[in-house]
Amino acid sequence: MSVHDRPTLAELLAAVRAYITGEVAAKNDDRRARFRALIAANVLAIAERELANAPEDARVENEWLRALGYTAGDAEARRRQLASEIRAGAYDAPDRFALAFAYAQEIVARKLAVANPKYLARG
Amino acid sequence: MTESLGSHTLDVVRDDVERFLSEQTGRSVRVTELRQLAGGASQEAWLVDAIVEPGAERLDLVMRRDMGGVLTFATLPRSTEFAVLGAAYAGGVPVPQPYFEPASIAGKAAFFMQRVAGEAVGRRLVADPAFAAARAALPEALANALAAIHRIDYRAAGLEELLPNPRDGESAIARELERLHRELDSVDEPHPALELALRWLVRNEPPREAGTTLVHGDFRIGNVLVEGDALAAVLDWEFAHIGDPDIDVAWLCVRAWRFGNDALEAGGIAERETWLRAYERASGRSVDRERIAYLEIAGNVRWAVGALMQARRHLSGIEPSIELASLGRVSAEMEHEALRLIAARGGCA
Repeated sequence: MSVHDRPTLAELLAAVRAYITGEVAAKNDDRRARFRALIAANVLAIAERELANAPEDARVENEWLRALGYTAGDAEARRRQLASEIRAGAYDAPDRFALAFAYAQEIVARKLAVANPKYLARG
Repeated sequence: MTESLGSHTLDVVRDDVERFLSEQTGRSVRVTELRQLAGGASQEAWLVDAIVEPGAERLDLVMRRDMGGVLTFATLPRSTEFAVLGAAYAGGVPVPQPYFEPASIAGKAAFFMQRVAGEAVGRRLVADPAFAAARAALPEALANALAAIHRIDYRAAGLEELLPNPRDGESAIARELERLHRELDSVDEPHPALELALRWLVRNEPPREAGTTLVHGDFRIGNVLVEGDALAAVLDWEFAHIGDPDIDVAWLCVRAWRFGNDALEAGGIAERETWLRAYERASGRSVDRERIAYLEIAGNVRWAVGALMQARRHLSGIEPSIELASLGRVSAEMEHEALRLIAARGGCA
């Protein structure tokens, strides 16, 4: 539990999003300004989903990186190592490529579940 | 894109536009309307209405002007875009006629062109019933325009020295992949999915070249103006280069440019085959479907990297913008599509 009082972080984000959608965007006559307000609301929705999914996303990626043989350093450093080894050709063998590919599919699906779940639903 | 434009900035731009247009026309020019237009994620577009005295002659113009930050490593300077637009206009491509000469307006490179009426917003063009007839006519009109672009004698037009060119012995595709690697490195964030897609592209490069032509570089729904049922203009020439014409043919098929109308793979307006056959008829050149499928994957990687770079313009503070910031999270859509297409083709490096 957070030391902070309610609204929780998620509730704060939701409140700002409702304000932007209901007040800022709906009552703005300037098309460009309204468009940007809707983008801002969407960005807050992304933040809300990331907050909800972050622990599970981190756990799953950590498992994958371990399975690929990366155990040292933080997630970013291990991701970097994987990226540079793919470019260097270390994953060219079919079984290695398939393994890294499965990792990438899982992570990209998780990124999309936060960034744009509707896109993911389209397949 | 600019979040807020102070009245001071607007005054400075207006004064400088009046100065430039007066110089160019040798007459007294008064700007009667000046405002920034929507769209244009990489450079500004301004509506400029002016009166030329004596004679009260009206000038209805669009001004293209640099924004802060470079979009990608392939972005042309405004003066070069101006020259390419001139060559396209001379070559019979429907484009806004470029006017005067390249300018510097309030400290940023700019140029002026004819204002062409029409709708450019992709999601309206693919979905609005008002454009149903236009959608039926567009495959052929787009094919004719693209074939006209690819027919331009770029050497005679003096573009060979101005535009990015493949080096001797280097394929246009290899050069494109090399640039994508450099652009991805510039983002300085690890992207294993994009590395896998790039690795697949490097190891599966199609052997044959489709020829060497002027390439528009961003030929898609969203960058064309449609008026009534007709294609009114091809816009946004800042990625023009000398290279492989199939890059343009495939780019229209990249999923992002279907604007949600996923089933119609050519820009959300036509079946892929309808588009490819229309282009073959217009160009007199047969198109290898395998190359198009390959270049569609490359196109997804290109826009994935492009979206990451757009977000960096916000993150670096060069161009603070909620829209640019949000593009950093759009990149995953193209990663997803690139992986999906590679998996559908067997998936081995």
